[in-house]
Amino acid sequence: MKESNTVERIRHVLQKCRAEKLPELALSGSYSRQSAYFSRSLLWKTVAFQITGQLEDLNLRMLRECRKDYETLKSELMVPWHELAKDHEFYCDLNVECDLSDSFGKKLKISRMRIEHHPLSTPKTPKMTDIQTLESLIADVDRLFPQFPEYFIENKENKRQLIEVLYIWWKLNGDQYLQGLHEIAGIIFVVLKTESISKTTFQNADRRTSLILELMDSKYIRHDLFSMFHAMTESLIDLYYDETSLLQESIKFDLKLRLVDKYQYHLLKNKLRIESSIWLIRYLRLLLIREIGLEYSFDLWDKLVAFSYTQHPEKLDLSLLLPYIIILLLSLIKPRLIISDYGEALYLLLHYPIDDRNKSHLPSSAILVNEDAGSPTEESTFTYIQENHQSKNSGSYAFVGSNNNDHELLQLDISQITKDAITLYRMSDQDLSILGARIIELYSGLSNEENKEGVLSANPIKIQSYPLGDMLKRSTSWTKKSSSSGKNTNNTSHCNQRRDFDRTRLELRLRNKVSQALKK
Amino acid sequence: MSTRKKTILKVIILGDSGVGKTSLMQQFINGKFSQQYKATIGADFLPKDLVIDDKQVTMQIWDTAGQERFQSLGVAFYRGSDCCVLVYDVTNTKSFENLQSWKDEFLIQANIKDPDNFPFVVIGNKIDVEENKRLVSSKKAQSLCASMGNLPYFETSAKEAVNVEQAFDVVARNALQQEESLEFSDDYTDAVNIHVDGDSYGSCGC
Repeated sequence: MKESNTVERIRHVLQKCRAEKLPELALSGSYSRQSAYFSRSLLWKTVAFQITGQLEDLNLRMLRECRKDYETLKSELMVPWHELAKDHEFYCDLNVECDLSDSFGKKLKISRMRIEHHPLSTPKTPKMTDIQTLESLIADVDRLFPQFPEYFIENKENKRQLIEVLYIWWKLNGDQYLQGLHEIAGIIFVVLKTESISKTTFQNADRRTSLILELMDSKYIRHDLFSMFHAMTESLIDLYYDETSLLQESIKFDLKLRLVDKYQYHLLKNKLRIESSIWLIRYLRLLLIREIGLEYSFDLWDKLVAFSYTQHPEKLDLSLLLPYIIILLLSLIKPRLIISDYGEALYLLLHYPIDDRNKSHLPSSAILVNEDAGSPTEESTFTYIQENHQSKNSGSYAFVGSNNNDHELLQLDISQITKDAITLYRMSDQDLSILGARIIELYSGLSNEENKEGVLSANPIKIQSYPLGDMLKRSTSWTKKSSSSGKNTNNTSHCNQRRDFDRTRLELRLRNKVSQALKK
Repeated sequence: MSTRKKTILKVIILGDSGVGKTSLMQQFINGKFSQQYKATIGADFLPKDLVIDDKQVTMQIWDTAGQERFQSLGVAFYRGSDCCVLVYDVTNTKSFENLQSWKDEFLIQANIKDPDNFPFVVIGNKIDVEENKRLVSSKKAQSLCASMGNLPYFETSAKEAVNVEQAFDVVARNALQQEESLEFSDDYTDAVNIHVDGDSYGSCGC
């Protein structure tokens, strides 16, 4: 059973380790998707609700309080389902209990009155009315994660829950709900839902087990989502969802880029004349979800959540590493940006060439679901889609895929990228321009040179300057690649990829260079 | 530096959230429709090569987010446009009523020198819906377009590929006309001191 497996994993971890240690372990890589007892939900909740202690003395105080708070909010800030058109998919009569947990009908109406006619409420002249906001939330959640229709598009109950949480959050926080937030909430929802447990399946649970059940209770997905969403987006909204601050952050980004890679900076800014805010808006607001895809995003968020905790345990800020990660991603496509014109470069930036593992691996994932879960549920589908990629994901360094044309797609080693981003994060400006620039060179395979006239150039890192002779000798597969053809191609390249796990990034890049040169 | 010289037409698509801007662009460029396109964040960008009366052009289509009214960012998105496509949803009255304000905002932020002659094209999308769901009549739309300066008007279905080709043909022609009427020499400078080592890189880069 999937649920008992979740309980087992959490029990195993919390018996050996204090909860507050998990973020550190997640950063170092010993508590990650690759480890057998990893629970993403546990990691994120630990950070969001500041859970501490081991299984015997697990501190769930904040979690409990937040759940209580949401219960109150939910009864006061009712979602106006009844104001939708009567034939609307989500229409719901006020008198009918559309929510199992809403059992206090009378109270609801009174509270609603109180909110709407509050004498002290500041007339902010909101741009959107309640019903307009609800409709725009529905429109966005209706098309959330189309690559995984089972999450929301085909699951009305999930949609309803997500809409409710976003609506209540908007009532409480925002003048305006902004697109993109629904996607962040969607990610958190998926994580919570995947490992949630229905208490009723465990009848006679001992005290320890019931603590775990409480922590993962499926009845409180919305409650936990609300608090986590609120905590995780607070700094993002300040920095990226306000237009003025977004422009400020874009300028800060430009300055950082200039420090670590002057060439890339001039290329984008002065030669191609692409204003960074044009593409950064999506990179930043969505924490790269669209750029790197959901699979990588889950892994990346593990690191962002954990890193934030190690910096300030009390404040969740997922933005800390983001600019540096974007610089690294940019460096990976620098060789292509260099030979692009304005249109090509912008296209590349807005369609970051990532290997979309979701699509190509869905069929095999489905088989895995059947193997394991017996009756595949929506939740199990995504769990195993993720786990299916463990082997592929475990060590190849940002290595460029097999076809050598414009459409080549990148695979990322999130672990390595976050490590390097943390290194950059900790550097002073001076270090960034010297040591940071070195790291960047490894990603782009290009090194910048500036002559006396101030002319900048970027050249491939020279082969002979690499202390890689030994490694090249040891590697046997790097010449095979260009000769493989036809039916064998699949096997060979698969083989190569396996081998590639043991290699260094420099070697991989070299191999690409050489095979391209040979091809020519 | 590259000596390629091609005519680039920048086309920007505006309109309320959910009217089908992304679907129209996808239908025109890739000839396909999907029930679910994600909400556009900021803007998206797709190029398409076309031949208009024996002339090679590249159309750069900018698909924008419909929910937000950008200020300074709008300037960055709209600048240099050759044609602006205003889209509404025939089942959504509000989206129709907002056409004028999208047009005004565009004119202000794109810094159009001659607003009266700038080419706009209006598209009423989703005509594949049942007749009783349609809330904006052709007549009403046509009279609005006439009042906004005789703007070309098309009714399309991105879903069933109705009229999309035709609408974008007019968009392209009008954009080309606009582009050719502009003096672009004054805008062109390449004073930046960047040297791309074409030989050593080009030999292995592509």
